[in-house]
Amino acid sequence: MQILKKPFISRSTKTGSAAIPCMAIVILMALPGMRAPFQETSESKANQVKAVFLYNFTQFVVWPQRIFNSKTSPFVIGVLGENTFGPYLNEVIESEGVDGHPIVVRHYKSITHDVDECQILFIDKSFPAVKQAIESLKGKPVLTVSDSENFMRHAGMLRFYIEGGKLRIEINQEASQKSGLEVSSKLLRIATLYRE
Amino acid sequence: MKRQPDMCSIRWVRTATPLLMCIFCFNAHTVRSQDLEVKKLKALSMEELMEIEVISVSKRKEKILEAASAVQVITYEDIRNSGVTSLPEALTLATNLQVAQVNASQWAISARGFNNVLANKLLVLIDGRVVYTPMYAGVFWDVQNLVLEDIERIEVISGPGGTMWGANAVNGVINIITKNTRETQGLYAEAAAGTELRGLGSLRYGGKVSNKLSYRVYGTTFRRDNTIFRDSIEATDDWQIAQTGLRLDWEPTDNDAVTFQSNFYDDRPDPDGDHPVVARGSNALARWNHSVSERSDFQLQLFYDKTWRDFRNGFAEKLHTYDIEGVSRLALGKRHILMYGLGFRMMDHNVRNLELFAFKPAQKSLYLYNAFIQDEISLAKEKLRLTLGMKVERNTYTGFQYQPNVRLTWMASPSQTVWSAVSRAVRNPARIDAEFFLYFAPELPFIAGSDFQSEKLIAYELGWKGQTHHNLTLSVSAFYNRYDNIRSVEPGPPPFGIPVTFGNGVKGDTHGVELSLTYPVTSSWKLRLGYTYLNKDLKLKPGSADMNNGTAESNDPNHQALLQSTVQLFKGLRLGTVLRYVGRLPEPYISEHADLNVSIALKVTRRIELTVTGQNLLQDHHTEFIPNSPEPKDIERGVYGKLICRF
Repeated sequence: MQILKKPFISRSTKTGSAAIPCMAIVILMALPGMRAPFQETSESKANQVKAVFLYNFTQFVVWPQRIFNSKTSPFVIGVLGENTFGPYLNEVIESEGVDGHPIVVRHYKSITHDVDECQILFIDKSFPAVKQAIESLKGKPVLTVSDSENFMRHAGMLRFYIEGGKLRIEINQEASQKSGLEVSSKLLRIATLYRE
Repeated sequence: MKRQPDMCSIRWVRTATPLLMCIFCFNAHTVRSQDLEVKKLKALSMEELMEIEVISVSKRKEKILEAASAVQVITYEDIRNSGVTSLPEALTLATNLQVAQVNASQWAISARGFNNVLANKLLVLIDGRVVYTPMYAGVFWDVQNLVLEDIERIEVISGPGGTMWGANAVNGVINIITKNTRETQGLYAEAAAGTELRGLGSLRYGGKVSNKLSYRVYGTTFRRDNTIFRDSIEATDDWQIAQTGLRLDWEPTDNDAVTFQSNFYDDRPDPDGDHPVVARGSNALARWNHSVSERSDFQLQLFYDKTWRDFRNGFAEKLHTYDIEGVSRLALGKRHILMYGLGFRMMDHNVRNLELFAFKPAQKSLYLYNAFIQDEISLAKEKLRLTLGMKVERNTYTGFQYQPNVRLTWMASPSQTVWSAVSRAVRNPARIDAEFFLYFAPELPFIAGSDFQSEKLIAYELGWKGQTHHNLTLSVSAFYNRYDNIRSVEPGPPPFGIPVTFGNGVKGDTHGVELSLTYPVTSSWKLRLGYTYLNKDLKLKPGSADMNNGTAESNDPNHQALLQSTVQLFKGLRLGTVLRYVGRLPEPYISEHADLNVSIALKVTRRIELTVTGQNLLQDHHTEFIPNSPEPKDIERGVYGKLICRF
């Protein structure tokens, strides 16, 4: 291996001038972050796909029969906290049903006493009391779903997360079984299992 | 520099050949958050839902159908199934490129013509890092080496990309994207040996530190046999390289993706066949993508690249490139997607001159500043998209340059897109254009530096893309390019006409059509078809006395075509065939030729695969390109076998 016989002239000190454009770039790039949040945040593809998954869960999870008061009682998908789905969730479940029970969407701003009337409760990651929400549903046949990072640690059942730009689902099978829910193998196959 | 007087000694020309042989990039395409119809999503299975790209960090992967440009994509499968063994060979799979092998380690590669060993109108990026030498505004292909297994895809965009990608993206952009380390977990080992590819070995290991942080490390080396002269005498230009590197991918949150990669290589090409050139380099790149909100994201990228090349005849060059760029994108209201960016690059180029062969000054720092803004406007219920873009660039040689672009895209139906664009692009001077000196004797120059100007292009493009319900995808694009200020070699003052200088004395136009088709005939049989027609009409500008009469900058075929077929014969046995046709090159004349590559892959077990590949099967040997001075070298038929293990 031949090394340089003659050392090259060392690099000129002019590189110092690089600092200014570099700074400008860093500042410029930080700008969007400082802007006021957009009024609409519900346009994303991720939220559309999440909405469709919530509907899919109605088909791939089995709830105990006794949860419905009558044959016409609705199947309730609740959204706790900010409605990041916009109109999508309603579009997805429109005129759909589960075993003859029409699916409806209800929005909750806080943990009210009727939250346990839901069959699926989606807790938005911006909701400040995720842990309390899960605890209030302990032992009840409500499928809890969230995109909050700490959701599984608090015994949440299904969590959406994003990996490589694609939506992924994590499942806490122990938590769902404790609540009397039966998750189909098809859903289990595509989900990653949560282990404490 | 053809037809130059024979006065200058062969030795200098030989030195000059490998030698004589931009500038802002960013890794994102124009993208839009095309809302999927909820009904369509509902019809998908859960597995299919999980395949949808949902967040903006990777929105770069714009759907090919929606991309309003002439892009051909070479996927990992296309590369693997074809049996190609190097990056330049892989590029032959895109017919919107002119690719010709010159000798064992050199290639001439261009898009939309102007192909030459010193081709200078193409921008090449490897994972966002611009590989470019300011010495001649081209690419040293012998040091652009990758483990082909780690390539996710190669996007070949023909046509100007100056507004988005920056100077030097005059005729096209090659964007090589390697796999995320999540996709390359475990151990991969390959070993190959054959008649032309004498030996190749790669080892890669991918692991995970946590769910959010994964990595891979690799090492690869190969040795390639000599080419031969036309009389079948060995050319002693064999080539070897060793390279190692790593990549890290970290996704600390759902909205952030950080990539770090670094490579080192030691390359021994020997294009002249008398003494191996020593080329060594290292590079490091870091990139951060962040989604600020659903409607805004940005990318910040830094890289450093060092190359050193010793021609072993006294001449050597060293280049340090420092680059930083930022791109931000935000949706404004319902109609606008605004994108803007800033970039800065410093290239410190240092040569060890010979007495009679010199770049003056020997050391030069080149600064490139750029800013760009682009607005993508949705019109007519999102059926129509108007994109207006402008890049302003300032380079050391010619100051401010402007590269605007107007693009109209019409999504005629969900399966058909019609697009049209008008763009201006420039090729900034390289050191060879302005600062190169070649002497007969000390103080008696044959070639002298000059006040070279930027080369300019105005391009008009029209394209159509469509997909049938059988998933047959067809893309056709037509272009008409008007060039000005193309490089010429101008004689010096009388009586002797020396020193000659590089001028901007050639102008003219080119037009052509590019066609590409992919067709999954059945679930186990896939076809790719490509065809390119190119016609050039270059002439001298008034006042120019170009010594090559406008022909020196390019040697391109009028027609080229490719048919690639991959068949899964039965479980575990795959047959890949590539038939390639390249029309005749006018000057120096090379006759048309067709080539056939056949690759058979047998999956022995889940972990072990064997392949046997024959390359250039139709002739014993053939010429692909004749460089300016040394004797032409021929590429021989080759056969190699490869063993792959995955754990």
